[in-house]
Amino acid sequence: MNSILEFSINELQREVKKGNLTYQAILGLIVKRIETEEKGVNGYISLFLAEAEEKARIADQKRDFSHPLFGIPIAIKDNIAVKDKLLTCGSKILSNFISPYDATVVEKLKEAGCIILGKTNLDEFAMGSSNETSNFGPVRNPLDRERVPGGSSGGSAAVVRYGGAVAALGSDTGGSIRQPAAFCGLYGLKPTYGRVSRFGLVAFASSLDTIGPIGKNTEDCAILLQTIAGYDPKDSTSVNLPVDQYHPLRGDIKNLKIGVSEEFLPESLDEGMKEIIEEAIRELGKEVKCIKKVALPHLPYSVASYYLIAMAEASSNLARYDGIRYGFKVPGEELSLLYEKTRGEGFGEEVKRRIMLGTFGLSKGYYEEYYGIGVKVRGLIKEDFLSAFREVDVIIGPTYPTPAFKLGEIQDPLKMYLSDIFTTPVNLAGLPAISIPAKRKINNLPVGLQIIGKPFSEKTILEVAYAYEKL
Amino acid sequence: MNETDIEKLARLAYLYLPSDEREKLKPSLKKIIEYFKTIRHLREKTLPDRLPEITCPRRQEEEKIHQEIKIASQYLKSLPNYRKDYFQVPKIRE
Repeated sequence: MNSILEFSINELQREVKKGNLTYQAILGLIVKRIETEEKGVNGYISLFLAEAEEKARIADQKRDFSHPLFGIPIAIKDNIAVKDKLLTCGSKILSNFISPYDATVVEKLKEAGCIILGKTNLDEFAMGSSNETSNFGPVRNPLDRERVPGGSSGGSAAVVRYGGAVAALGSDTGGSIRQPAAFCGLYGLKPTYGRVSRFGLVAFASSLDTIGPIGKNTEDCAILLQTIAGYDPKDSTSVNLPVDQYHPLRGDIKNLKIGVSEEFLPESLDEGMKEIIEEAIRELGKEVKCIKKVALPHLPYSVASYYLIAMAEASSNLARYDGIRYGFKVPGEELSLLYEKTRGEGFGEEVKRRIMLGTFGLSKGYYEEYYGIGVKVRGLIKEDFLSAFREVDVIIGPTYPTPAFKLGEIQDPLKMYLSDIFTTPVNLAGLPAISIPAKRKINNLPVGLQIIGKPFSEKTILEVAYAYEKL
Repeated sequence: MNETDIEKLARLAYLYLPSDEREKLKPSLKKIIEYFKTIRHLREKTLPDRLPEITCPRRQEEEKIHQEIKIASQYLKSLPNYRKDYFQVPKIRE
């Protein structure tokens, strides 16, 4: 890969300013990578190359350096609305749906002058941890094409990894930004629930869904987050709090306290993984005020609580895909058959499984025993975190129990769900977290280090990530 | 979870599932529901009686929404088959 494609957003802008690069040249290099890599990786569902070239040409004329994203090609996960473009969610049921409006995050990126390059592949309706459930075929990890890129924002991570975009937006409901970032050796940030508007994000589990950046370094994530964060009256869950200045980053973390919890480093965790994470914590420990043990006793119940809630919300959110409103339709002799056949043919296996389980958890006689308990456990998990954060500023652990696994390696859906043990509690508690590559790898595969912060402390987790990146 | 339960769930979820698909889904549904039961033992031990406060701080616009709901309920009252805060529509499935 051309080394220019390894440049950070600021480095690219610096070279353009100096006259060593043009926005058209940057785009040209990216398009070349897409031509050589995309067929084998399958990271994009749609590409807008002609429009992108026109925008790059105009950007070179304007040379407006007032925003760091001006003229920078960015990819968008295909569950986020871009006006007049396909919005498939990786599903057959939305395979011909064109969005009539921009998501707020896309509007903000466009206002900043960045170039929307295309829509990236994902697990169908963002339901998956491997990107194998897309109706448009699986995505392969550019670092090893026999392996998955992670999910559900696997397309976003894969294209950034191979140089098919400078950075990307993903969505994170139970780890879908952080885990693909970990598998592809990238940086992925899940913001606090309410920090970034979700207007225009196709709903999966509304009390958990967030939008965030995936980039090649901490600063790129900070720049993207700065651009998309903030209150939005169009999203009733967005919070009207001032947005911190996330960049430039200094990496000054000497007054911070790091929390370490044995629930994030359980005995069952692979020894190699444990060593790498502990080593990273030790290294960071030299830079901070202190390292302190904290307890998160209900963390082992996160996966059950998360899936009960996420599936229940999904079964409700996906009720709108009925063959009447969103394009794909299978005719039926009567209305109920039209619904059933459209949904039966339009949704893939994993989505159907989750709708069925969500319906089960909400049905009469089971509601209190399943969904009700799931919600109460969620409260305990949140209380655990808030009590830990009275003593420390960040909590550090692994993003995922393993590095990227092989395509088809995990056939048991429950086994796949159980591996989300370190990412789902963060969504349940609505906290911000970033996954960054650890310094060491396992069998040459990247390992994700997760830094979790207090609500709305994105600046703190970015500073810790930056400090580690610069070590 | 038996065949009838799966059929019933599929009907509730408006999903047409041919028998081969039902067969394919059955073991995983069973296994996952068994797994969900693992948190039920917390019920007796530590779970609070009331639901936790997860929602974001209440926003000013909510007042406006409540007013709109009030107006909507006035309209509802003028509809046939009106019940408390909704109105009944003809059954689409027996």
